[in-house]
Amino acid sequence: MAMICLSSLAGCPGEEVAREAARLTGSEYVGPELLTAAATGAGLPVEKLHQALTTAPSFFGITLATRRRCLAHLQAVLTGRLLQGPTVFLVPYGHHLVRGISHLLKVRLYAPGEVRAQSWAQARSCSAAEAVRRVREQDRVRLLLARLLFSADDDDNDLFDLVVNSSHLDVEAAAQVVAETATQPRYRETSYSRQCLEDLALANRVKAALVGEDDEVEVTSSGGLVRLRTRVTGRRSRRRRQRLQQLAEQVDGVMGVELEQVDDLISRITRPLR
Amino acid sequence: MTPAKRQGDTTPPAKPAPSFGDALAQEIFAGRDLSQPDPVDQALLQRPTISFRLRLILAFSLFFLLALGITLWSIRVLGTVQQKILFLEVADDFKLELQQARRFEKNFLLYGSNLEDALEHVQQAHRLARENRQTFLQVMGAEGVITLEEHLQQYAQLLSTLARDRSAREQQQVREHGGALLVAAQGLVEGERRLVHEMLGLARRVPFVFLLVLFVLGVLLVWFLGRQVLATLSRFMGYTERIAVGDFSPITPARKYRDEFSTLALALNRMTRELDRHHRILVESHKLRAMGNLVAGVAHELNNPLNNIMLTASLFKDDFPELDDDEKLDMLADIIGQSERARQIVRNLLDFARESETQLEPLAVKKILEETVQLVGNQLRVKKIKLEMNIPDELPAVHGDRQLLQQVFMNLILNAVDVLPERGRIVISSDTGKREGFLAIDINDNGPGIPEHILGQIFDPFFTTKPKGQGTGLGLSVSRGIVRKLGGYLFVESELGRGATFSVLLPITSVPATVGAGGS
Amino acid sequence: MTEQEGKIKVMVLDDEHIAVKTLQRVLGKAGYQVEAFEDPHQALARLEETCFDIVVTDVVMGDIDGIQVLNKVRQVCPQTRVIIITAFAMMEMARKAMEKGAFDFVAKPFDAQAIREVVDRAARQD
Repeated sequence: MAMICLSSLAGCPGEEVAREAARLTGSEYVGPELLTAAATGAGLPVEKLHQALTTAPSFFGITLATRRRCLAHLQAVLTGRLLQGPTVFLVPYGHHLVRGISHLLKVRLYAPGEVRAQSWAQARSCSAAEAVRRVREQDRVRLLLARLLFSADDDDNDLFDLVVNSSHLDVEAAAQVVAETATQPRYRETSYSRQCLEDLALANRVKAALVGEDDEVEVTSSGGLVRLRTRVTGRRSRRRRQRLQQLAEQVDGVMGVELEQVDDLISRITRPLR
Repeated sequence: MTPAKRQGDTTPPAKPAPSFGDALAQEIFAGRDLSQPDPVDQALLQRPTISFRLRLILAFSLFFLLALGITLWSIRVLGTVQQKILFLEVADDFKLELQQARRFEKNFLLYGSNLEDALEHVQQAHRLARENRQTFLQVMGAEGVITLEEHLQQYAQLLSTLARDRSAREQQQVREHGGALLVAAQGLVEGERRLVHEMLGLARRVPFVFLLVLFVLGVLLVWFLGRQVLATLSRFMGYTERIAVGDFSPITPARKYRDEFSTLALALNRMTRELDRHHRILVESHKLRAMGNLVAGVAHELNNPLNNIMLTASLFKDDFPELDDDEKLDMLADIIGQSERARQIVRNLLDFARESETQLEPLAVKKILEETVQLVGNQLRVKKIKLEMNIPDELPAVHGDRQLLQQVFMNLILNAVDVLPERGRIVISSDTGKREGFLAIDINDNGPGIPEHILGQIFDPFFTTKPKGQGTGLGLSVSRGIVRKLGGYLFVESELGRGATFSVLLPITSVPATVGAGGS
Repeated sequence: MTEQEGKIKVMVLDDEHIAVKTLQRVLGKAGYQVEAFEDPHQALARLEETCFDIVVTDVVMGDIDGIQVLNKVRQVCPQTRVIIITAFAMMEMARKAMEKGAFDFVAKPFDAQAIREVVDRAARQD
């Protein structure tokens, strides 16, 4: 029984390790079905959602708002699933989507670029040069999107509890390491972490409901009380704020909504600096 | 409550209370009404204008007048020389006529030739003298001309007499007059020639003198104007240094007149006003940030009374039928007491958060420090940090703003908490002897200290040693700005491995009578 | 307080007087034999003398914290289940407590039923 978030770099055997770790810990593996569910929630075809999470930002490409909408729905689906029981999940940016849950073990599956390119070439039977190019491109997009969507450095190992080098271990051994770590007392569920997860799941549900109205709204919740932080300012903002409040109140499990309007000079000044 | 009554309550159009953010936004976007000139600006403007352009124009006019004078003088000299040369020709002719006359006279006396020719030449000379009488007068003076004319007349008379009477006496007289006339003419020509030479010599020297004068004058002018510009520039350099350390007091007139630098002073004053305004917004924004930190601590602290309330209330509900009245009253008293405790925690925070105009007043530092320590109490407790406060009760009041000072102290204490390991120690002490007229509050920690190579940067904006996303790097910069604004100083001493001491020097207020007002 | 054999012994330790008083009452009513302490030093001394089945302890209490109490308990009575309750709950603190062998980590505020459920769960896992 364990809760594991797996993040696999392009060319690493993420899905295989996730399945094996799920088997070893008696948990359930979830992956692509979460993306499908999130796409349904966002009202987009699953290909589009996949694109939103894997293509580099460009002028004619998918807008930031759409990407945020996809993420919000993915987050809601994911945390909703986590509430149902022990899960091993593998979704893009999963480690950014669920934060502050002490019984969730976050694992990064890593391997040097050449090794990953090799296995990529083998798995997809393409040329070595093509594989190197594809792996490099995916790494670049991953770092870029992580900075854009989460203001985080995706290669920062502090994001993870465990980093496994899959070039030294086969799938079974890697899954073994992951499973053993996840079953340590440190990652046992507590009343507190369960409560945190419930709060997070509710906040994410609300966020998914609001993201169409304001894609930058920040939602936190604590025992049914939901707090919204919005940057919506200016004229006609009053009606939009009221709408946010109404939408939030309609979400299941919400007992109260507080709305805060943020206008912070420092974050405005320092945002371009970061 | 009836529906009508409720409606009555809500019918007046609800005017939204200006919230923290709104006021800030207004401050940012509305700006100050700039059409209203500042009193200092007016003082700068209400002076007579003596601009550098005017001064340069004056200098150039002076040069021009000088050059014009010299030129006019030269033209005059040349004119005179020309006249003199013309006169010299006349004088030469005059002399020639007389010489001719003497030659014919001699011929007459020696060979008895025609004397008419001599007479004619004398008349010719006489005519020349008459025609150029004015010039002759100028050169020889009235007396000379009259003498010359008398000589001429007598000579002419003598010549005509000589034709009839060739006596020796007559011959003698004719020779004397003729000689005198010739000498006079000779003298005239010689004198004029000398004068012309003198004048030409002068005309040759004058340009050199003029150049010298021009040079000396130029040097003087450059020195004078240069000194004025440089002195003003260094004055402005002083202003910018002052602004750089956060002193935003406006520039006041230093001279009795206005020039181009006054416009610069106006521009600088406007800049400092804008800087000041932005600084205020920054301080306000930073306070919000600091509050974010505090709220996390305070929220945790609230959990204790809330837990007590929740437990007691749930017990009250569960056991309601079994509880006797005394027990119920006890539990309710507990709930009320704990609610009061929670309210006090929130009130401290709100006191700090309350937005207010900067109000300079005499303050009792100890009370401010105590309130600040209360606010950060959680952060201290979680890290088991021991805070010692060695502040005597009797301290001179300082000049400052309660909230701003609280913000400064909080920044310094929270910084210390951040760098300290568990069970660290913070000592807050005071010192009136550090600098005359100032009260020093030292906040000392026994943390790792600040490495020397960053010691010079820690007050720079956006400088931070905290991990990404954890610090804005504005705390110390804003704190120093606040302290400078209050007329004090903030500096740091640190020894690696031994901790750091931040000293806040605040001006002691000179009016002790009103201390009580600020203290409470 | 009457000592009864067979009752599960619970120690409650918190520097909040009302919390201690109420927890004692809630758990006492739920059938546990409760000893309550407000001073962690006294509690540590008592732990030297006797083993409890369950210890409920606060974390932030002046110079001794709940993690130290937890360590002490693991040392002297390894089978005792320790429930950490704290107003300053954070992810790292929870992981640390669980790593040191805590049974559960509960964030304040909680109501009577919540804590009773946690203690019941600890009691069942014999």
